[in-house]
Amino acid sequence: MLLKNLFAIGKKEDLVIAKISNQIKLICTACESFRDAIKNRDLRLMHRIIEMERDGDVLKREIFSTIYAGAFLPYLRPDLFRFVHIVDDVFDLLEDAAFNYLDLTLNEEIEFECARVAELNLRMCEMLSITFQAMLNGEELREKILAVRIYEKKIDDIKFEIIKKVRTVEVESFWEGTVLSDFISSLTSMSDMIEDASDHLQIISASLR
Amino acid sequence: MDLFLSLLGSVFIAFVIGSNDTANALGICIGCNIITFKRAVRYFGLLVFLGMLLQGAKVMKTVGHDLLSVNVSIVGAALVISGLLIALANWKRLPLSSHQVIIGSITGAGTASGIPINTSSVLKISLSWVLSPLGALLFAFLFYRLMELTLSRLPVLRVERILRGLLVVSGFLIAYNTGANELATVLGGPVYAGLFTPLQASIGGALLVFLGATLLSPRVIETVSKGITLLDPFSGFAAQFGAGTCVLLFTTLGMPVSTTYCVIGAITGVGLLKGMETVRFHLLKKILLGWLLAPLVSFALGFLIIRAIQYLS
Amino acid sequence: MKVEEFMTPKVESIDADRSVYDAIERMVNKRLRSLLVTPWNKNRDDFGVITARDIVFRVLSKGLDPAKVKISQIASKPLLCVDKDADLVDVATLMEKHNIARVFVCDEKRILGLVSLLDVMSATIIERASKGYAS
Repeated sequence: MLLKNLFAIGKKEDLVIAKISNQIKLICTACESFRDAIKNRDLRLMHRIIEMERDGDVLKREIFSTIYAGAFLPYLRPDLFRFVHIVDDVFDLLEDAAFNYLDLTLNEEIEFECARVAELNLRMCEMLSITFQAMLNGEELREKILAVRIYEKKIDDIKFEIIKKVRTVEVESFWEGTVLSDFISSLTSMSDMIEDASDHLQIISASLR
Repeated sequence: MDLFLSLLGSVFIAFVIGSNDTANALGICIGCNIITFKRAVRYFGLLVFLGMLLQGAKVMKTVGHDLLSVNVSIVGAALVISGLLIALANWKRLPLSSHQVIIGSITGAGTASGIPINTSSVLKISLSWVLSPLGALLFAFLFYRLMELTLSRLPVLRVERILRGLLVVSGFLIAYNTGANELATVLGGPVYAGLFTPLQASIGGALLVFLGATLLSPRVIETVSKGITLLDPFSGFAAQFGAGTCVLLFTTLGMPVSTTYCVIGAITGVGLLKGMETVRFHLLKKILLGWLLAPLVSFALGFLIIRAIQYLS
Repeated sequence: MKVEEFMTPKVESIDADRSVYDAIERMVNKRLRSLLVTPWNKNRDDFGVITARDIVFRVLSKGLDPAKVKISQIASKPLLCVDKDADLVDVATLMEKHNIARVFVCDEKRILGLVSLLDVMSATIIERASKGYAS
């Protein structure tokens, strides 16, 4: 009977892990859709991303409530909460970018750079997923976190270029300018958060040593 | 009258063990949702019963027979004094070893009654009181090192899962010790004074412990688990398991020792691993003072009460 | 990993007719260490490259005035190219063999991008990190 207790309790933890994996998979899918949407100027796909963000929110709440119900020892919980929160924040930024895009027409040059950033964001999310799996397997995370950082630096360089180019764009109204600025800001800030998330995996991994 | 007092004392102390010691054993597990309160209390009662039944005999013999030949008056006086001191300590929130006060008061009462005290027994018991916290320190130290060598290599989440299992194991060990050592110390006197058979003591004692646990332990557990952030689960387990193993060892030797002081020793041991600065020496000094005073005060009280009774009658 | 995945797709170019000074100006502004040199005669399709090394070693260290030297005088030709499907190791080997810090990615006389030493290092880390995991 006691063994069954222990097994049953293992189930909550497994559930949390599965849901976090799903959350990361979802953000990867969303980033992929975003990249495709920009490349193909597909507004319908952009709308899909906004729906995906809501799914992400639901996942986040489910994860939180399962942890609150008693999954994991207390020392591990704050770090897990923080990680899930950060991934959700990335999703929020992606949604903001998608939303703003619907209201924009980008010139070709800036669109090209934005598509590059979108591609790199996708790569970062995929690397985050790999890092999470590696943590579950007890592997060394150093290399994977370095890979995430490499992507982040690349995006930083492109961000610099975009900001320089965008200054030369003529806007017809304050709001047009704001929407463009918000779009670029959201798009380029995601990478910092994904980097933060991967750092948190390192923290969780090291929390016992 | 003596009979009544003996019974009253036994019942009271067994009840208090239930209300206080459940938290010691299973507070962490309950606080971390590893096990529900209801299940914990049931297992606690069962393990106390098993401990008392399977290994309580040696400690009971030491307390009720080897130390001195008890009779009902001695037992009555000793248990009442112990009960009062334990209640006082609870009220003032001081750590107190029930073993020390029981043995101290029995010895004092016995001396006043003119019954010869087995000095080698007294020496052995005192030595156990000194050695057991140190032994726990050593065990905790070793367990911590062992865990560092084996568990650190595994993935974090697997270690976390293993730790949850280990916490249950160490909690159960402490519960078992509560029966085999603590309850045995309390009921050794009454059993050897002829009040109950060992089996009756086991069943009755465990039942009272269970009652105490069901009725009064929730608040204690709440206090204990509020403070649980398990900042360092490695240390927590190593300390609890180290203390539990040490107490089991001394139980097998028939020596009544305090789990509380062993846990203090164990926590100090793990603290030393992390550096001398983490050990709160001024706190240890206070604990040490209590550890020295308890047997002396209870001896004095036991002595005085019997003399008072003799004077009055 | 294919070189196409870790190259820089946008390549800055400068006309061979311009002065080295213009090249310096462009490089400093855009934080670049090399520029693609486009032929002054657009019918010819042999491009060249001018690097910071070329400028420092062949012009500045000799005390020459960069404003008076034409890019065509110090640019390296022809370009060293790799195919877009080339492997990391192939690129690294090529760089080592010719002692160069960058290689262009070409496809039937169209320049697709640029790969630097840093790009090769970064790509190696990413390839190692992804090993064993489906992407």
